Amino acid sequence: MPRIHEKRVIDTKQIVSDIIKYALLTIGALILFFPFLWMLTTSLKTLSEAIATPPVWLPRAPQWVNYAVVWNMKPFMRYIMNTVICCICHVAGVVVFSVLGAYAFSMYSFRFKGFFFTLFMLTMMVPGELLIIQNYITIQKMHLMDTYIAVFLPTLASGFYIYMLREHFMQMPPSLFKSAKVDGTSNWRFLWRVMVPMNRNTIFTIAILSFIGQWNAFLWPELVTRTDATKLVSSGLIAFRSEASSNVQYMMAGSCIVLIPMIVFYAVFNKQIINGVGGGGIKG
Amino acid sequence: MKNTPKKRKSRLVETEDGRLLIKSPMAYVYLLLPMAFLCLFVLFPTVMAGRMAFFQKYNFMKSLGTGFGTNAFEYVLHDKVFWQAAKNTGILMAVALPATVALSLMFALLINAIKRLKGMFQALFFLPYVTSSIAIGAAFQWLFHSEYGYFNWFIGLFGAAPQKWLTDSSCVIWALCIFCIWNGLAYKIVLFLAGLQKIDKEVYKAAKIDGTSPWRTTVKITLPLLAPTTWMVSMMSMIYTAKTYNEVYSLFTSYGGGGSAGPGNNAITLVYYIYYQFYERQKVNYAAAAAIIFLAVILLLTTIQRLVAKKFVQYV
Amino acid sequence: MEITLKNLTKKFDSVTAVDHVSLTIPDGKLTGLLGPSGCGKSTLLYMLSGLTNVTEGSIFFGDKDVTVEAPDKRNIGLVFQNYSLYPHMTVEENIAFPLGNRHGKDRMNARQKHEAACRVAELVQIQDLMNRKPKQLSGGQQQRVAIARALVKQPDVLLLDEPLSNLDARLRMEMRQEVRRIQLESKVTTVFVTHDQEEAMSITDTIVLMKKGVVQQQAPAREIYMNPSNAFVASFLGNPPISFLDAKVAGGQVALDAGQGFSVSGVADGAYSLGIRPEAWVPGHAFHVKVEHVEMRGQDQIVTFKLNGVQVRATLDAEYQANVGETISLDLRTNRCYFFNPETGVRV
Repeated sequence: MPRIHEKRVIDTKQIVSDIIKYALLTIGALILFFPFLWMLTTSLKTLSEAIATPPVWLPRAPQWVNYAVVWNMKPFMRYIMNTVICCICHVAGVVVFSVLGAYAFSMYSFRFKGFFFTLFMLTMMVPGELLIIQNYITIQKMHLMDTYIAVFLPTLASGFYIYMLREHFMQMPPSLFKSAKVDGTSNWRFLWRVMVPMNRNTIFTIAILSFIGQWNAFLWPELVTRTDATKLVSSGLIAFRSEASSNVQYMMAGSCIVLIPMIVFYAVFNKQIINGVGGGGIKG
Repeated sequence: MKNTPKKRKSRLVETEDGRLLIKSPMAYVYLLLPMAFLCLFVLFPTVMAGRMAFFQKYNFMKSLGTGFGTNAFEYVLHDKVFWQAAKNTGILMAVALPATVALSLMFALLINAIKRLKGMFQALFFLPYVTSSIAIGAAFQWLFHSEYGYFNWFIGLFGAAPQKWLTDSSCVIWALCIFCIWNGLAYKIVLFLAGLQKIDKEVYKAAKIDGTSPWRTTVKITLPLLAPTTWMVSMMSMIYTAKTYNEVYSLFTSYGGGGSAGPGNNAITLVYYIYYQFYERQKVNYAAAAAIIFLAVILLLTTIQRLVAKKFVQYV
Repeated sequence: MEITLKNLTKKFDSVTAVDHVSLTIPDGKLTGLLGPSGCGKSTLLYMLSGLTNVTEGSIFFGDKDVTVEAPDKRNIGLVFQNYSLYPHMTVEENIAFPLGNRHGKDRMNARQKHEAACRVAELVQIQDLMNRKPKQLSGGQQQRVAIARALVKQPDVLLLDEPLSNLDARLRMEMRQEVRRIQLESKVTTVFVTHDQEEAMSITDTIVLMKKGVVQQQAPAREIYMNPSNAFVASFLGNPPISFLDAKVAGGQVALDAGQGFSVSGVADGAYSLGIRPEAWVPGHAFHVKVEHVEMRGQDQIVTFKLNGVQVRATLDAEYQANVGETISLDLRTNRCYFFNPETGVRV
């Protein structure tokens, strides 16, 4: 029947275009993913396999021993612990400051509110690299050099997260606060019993994004940490580079050790992370 | 009985749009700590950087400077390395920026157009965002290796001659571009996808009923409706690209030695220049002067953006 | 608790939303604040709640002047148009939330709160929904929860801002009966804002009709319908609405089209605006009119015809045969006709 025939023609077209789409995406994903795959396979190769031309794609026998060697060359466990501790402190501080700041800017009326708000927003414009000079001096003067505190202290207050949370606080229906006020709810109770639980997704997103940011930060941590007792994974990896020198398989095993916790973290929270970044708007 | 207006004890004020605000100095208490931190670690250093830049010599441990003047600016503006950095940053903005925006738009459109495995592709394409650029930079260093690198092997398949990507001073900037494009895709894809999600699905139904082809739908409907997002992403990436630093550091630090960006500092960018003057050469005043010039350029770019946006972009 | 307003005024910049309103809201009764949108009825309600500041005048709850009292000191319950339930709390947590605000000797333990919540939940008949979240409830159920939350602290005054406007027509009928029942059972002084005259007339003890910030009339439903004080009141109440036409009175005789008319007593000679309720018309002999339009409503029909060059509506029994284009004969019951001053609109 002609109608069925027509339908079949459309379907073929659809299938062809689908195949093209999936093919392009797969190629893109492979290119984007290639460095990770290469890193992982290389970390399990012998040196001669790693530098062979033409390339040897997969190791003949996975050299798990590379990981053992690397693990003993540098205190990676210590680095990971340091990073986790700094990340937790950083996230806790960022969340508390953002909640308080956003509440003040969204629900309060006070003198110089506009001025303060502009000031907070302006801090988003200043490139972080400009700040390292004086912050380095400040941290040194506070005798905090080579401590955890030095790592996370300067980035605790973030104009960006305060702005992001304030936008969400402002979107709450005004009648919620009105009815809470009629019922005699204190401002403090309203914040913690209504505002925070209702915006828990946004707060969670802020927590995750700041966690990722702290985990991957390297310029500032590299400047203020000197010893293995405080070095973060990123700085540890920089130090490890020179030791591994041309042993590419060790270098990649070290990189994998640093990447794997974050990839696991991403696997667990990827929906939240993607939604947070997509919905959060600006962050460069 | 005559009524006179009574003084309001009420600490609540209603705004014009019907919101209720608390009139209380408690707001200052909430803002005290964040404000203190921002002042100490953002505003104060900015002001200090401005001050440092005007001294000939500056002892940053004592915050003492000698020889007030614009010498540092003159030095920076006559420094070949600075102009190299400016040129490289310009190349990144002219090549890596459009390429990464176009590629991420393409991938976002593709992901948006498929039905199955959408989430998987989205997750895969976003992965580079969460990974440390130091670790990934290490991988790229080896992929770009002149003898063992897979990159040379790959272009060799097409008959191209192997290049010394990280050691040949004319190649380094292109290696940097490739790494920047790769590194910049993830974030922009997610922003584009979020923008695509905001487009009203009814529009597509209408187009489908009218028998519009998918290609025409994309060109005539999706792209125009996505224009505000595209604009936002481009502008953000512009600032981000101007601030390129991570990629240089992770790709070049172990080559060239002494923390310089590639052989003869040929892969240096403006922000890397600031770091280089401060950390490698201990010239705080030069670093500060460069930072101020950089900040001025950023502010100029932002202002132009704002003006252009006001004129041409209509946010739906 | 009786509420007294004296010269209550609210100005927003140059706009006067509520203009020198003085009235008394009776204790333990259901009062409806009625009027078209923008008439200031909601502003008046929010001034009662304390959420909106008073520009001038005063508010008394009983003998107590609460004009500048904070909202939480007034012991009121407030229900919003959108219910504004806390979406992350269960029904019970929502209802008990106001009780958790108490401090010192008024502080309640978990059991007391639970008992209080259950008591009001029973009153509004949602005892089976206590563990649900607001999202899992229908609009009517959410409304009940909102009322329960407003009643749990045993307020002196219950304020409802357009509580039924978010419901569909059938639920609205049901919920307005519920509001009435809950009010009668709890005996709380209730003020209820609505723009729907039918809603106001069906359940309130007394109606306050407002226009442009000024109270037009305050009276029970029957009284305000039967005895409107001005043309606006007459036109706002009644469905289908009252018809107005220009009429001349001479010697106790009202002259209408083509020599038709009727006699009145107690109205001085002169020109008036004559308001005729649609139900004033009954089949008869005095008026002969040409049917222009018939709208069947089931229990009755709306017949439209021209009189004195103006369209006039009449509700006639559904059984009555009226066809478009035909001429029908009607009588006029003059007790449903009102004379207004054509300039001021004031009832004569």
